[in-house]
Amino acid sequence: MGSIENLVTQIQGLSGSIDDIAHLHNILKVADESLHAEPSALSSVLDQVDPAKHSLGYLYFLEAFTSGPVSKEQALTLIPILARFINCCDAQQIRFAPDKFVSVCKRFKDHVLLIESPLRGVSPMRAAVRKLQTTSEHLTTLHPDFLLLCLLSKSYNIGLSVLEDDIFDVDQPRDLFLYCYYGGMICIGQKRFRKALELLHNVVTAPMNTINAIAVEAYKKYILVSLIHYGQFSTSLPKYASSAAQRNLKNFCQPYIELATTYSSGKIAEFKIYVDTNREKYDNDKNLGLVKQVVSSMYKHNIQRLTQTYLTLSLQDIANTVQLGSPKEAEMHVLQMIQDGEIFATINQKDGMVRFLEDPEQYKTCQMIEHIDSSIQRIMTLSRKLNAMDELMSYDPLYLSKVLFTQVGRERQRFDFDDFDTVPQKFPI
Amino acid sequence: MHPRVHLHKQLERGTGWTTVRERERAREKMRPTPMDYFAELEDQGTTVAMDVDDVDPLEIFGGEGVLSVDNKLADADFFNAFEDDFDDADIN
Repeated sequence: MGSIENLVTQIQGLSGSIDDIAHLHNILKVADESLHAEPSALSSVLDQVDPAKHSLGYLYFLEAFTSGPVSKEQALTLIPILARFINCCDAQQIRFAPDKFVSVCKRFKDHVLLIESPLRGVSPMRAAVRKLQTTSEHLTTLHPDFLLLCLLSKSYNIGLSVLEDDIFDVDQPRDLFLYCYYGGMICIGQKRFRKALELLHNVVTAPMNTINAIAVEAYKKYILVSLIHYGQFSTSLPKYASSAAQRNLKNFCQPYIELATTYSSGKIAEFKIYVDTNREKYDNDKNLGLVKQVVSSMYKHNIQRLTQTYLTLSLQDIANTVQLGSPKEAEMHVLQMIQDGEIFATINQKDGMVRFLEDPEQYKTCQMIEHIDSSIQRIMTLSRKLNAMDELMSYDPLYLSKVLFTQVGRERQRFDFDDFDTVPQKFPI
Repeated sequence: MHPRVHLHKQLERGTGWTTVRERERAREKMRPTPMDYFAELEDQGTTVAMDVDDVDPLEIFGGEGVLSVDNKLADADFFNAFEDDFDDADIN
């Protein structure tokens, strides 16, 4: 206990400047094993250390104190302590020990799940993500945990806040898979289907040596969202998708591929029969709700097709063509589509005629110009980043050895090893 | 009879729905083609095909170049026990 008291004194004295904190970190690393030896002795010590001012020291104590399994009652006690620390800790200090901070946050997540109260974890985990990130482009291992809590607590809007960041720096591949899959689900919940497709696409086409379960589930949702949003789906994967995905993904998603094939016929009655026949499969995957949205979307896309042929059409004709029960139903669908900006039309209540209009957007308002300008800026930034990444990869030893191996394998009949120049580590500027 | 002519005749009789207008003259802009991320780029006439090297994709994230059995799923234990919250019929 005496050594712990000394440690408290050192923490209180060395939490000022960056140099002091770096020195403190070395002391704490040495003391870490002894802290884990007697975690129960640390509960009284936590009150002597300020989580905001002495964040690094508090982190070491907290991490040791909360190690080991806990019961529900213990979790209830620990959750406010962990949440308070995460919310008020100093980001600069905890970045000296990111692994410990991640451990503490993941335990916090486990505790809120244990007491079945994911909502209590949402705000602290968002704070944790922001504190652990070195930049907004950095995907941390806490991002998926945060999105998981948002999904479980149905806090889709809060989850969207981190999904707006463009990610360029990833710690672990699994983090990217989970982030994009959970993120896709968040976007589906907010009906941001285009963004959802972008995220799910990333999972499906990410490099993978063996077929990944997360990619399989993402592909199922991708098919459904593609039908909802675009009214169509293509089974061909882009060239940059891994060979594992190209060969195997469809085998794991047959009921969904067949659903898309049936959808493409445009025949609602036939499609509904197919859905009912395979209902249980979609229900087991927890995708039945999305499948129902696919059914609704068929009416919508059939109505959209009508706008490409007719200038005006009666509600009765729309109902007949699209196989709706009545003109009233057709009117509800058309009204909803007008409200959602999916078609441009007016309805004459007197004679039940719908007049389809052109998109009034002239692309010359200030808002539209700002939108286009920000898109251009974003693409230019992306282009610069891609060029920088390409240059970095061009002298990465691992990449070069693989390319060389491939080239040598193909051209071994023509060239000898001596024909290849030694590759410099970096190009001199 | 050509469908467009037939429709024009219908208008003359006053049935209440109009002809197909001449798309080439009336429309000054193309309707946007939905972007299908998974379609072959050659199929989309309004885009430029990505300049992709014609080499085997490198398995950057691990792997020794020998592919393992395809039936095993990596990360099969990932958390996916969410309620199905996407049924619009549940929204009041």
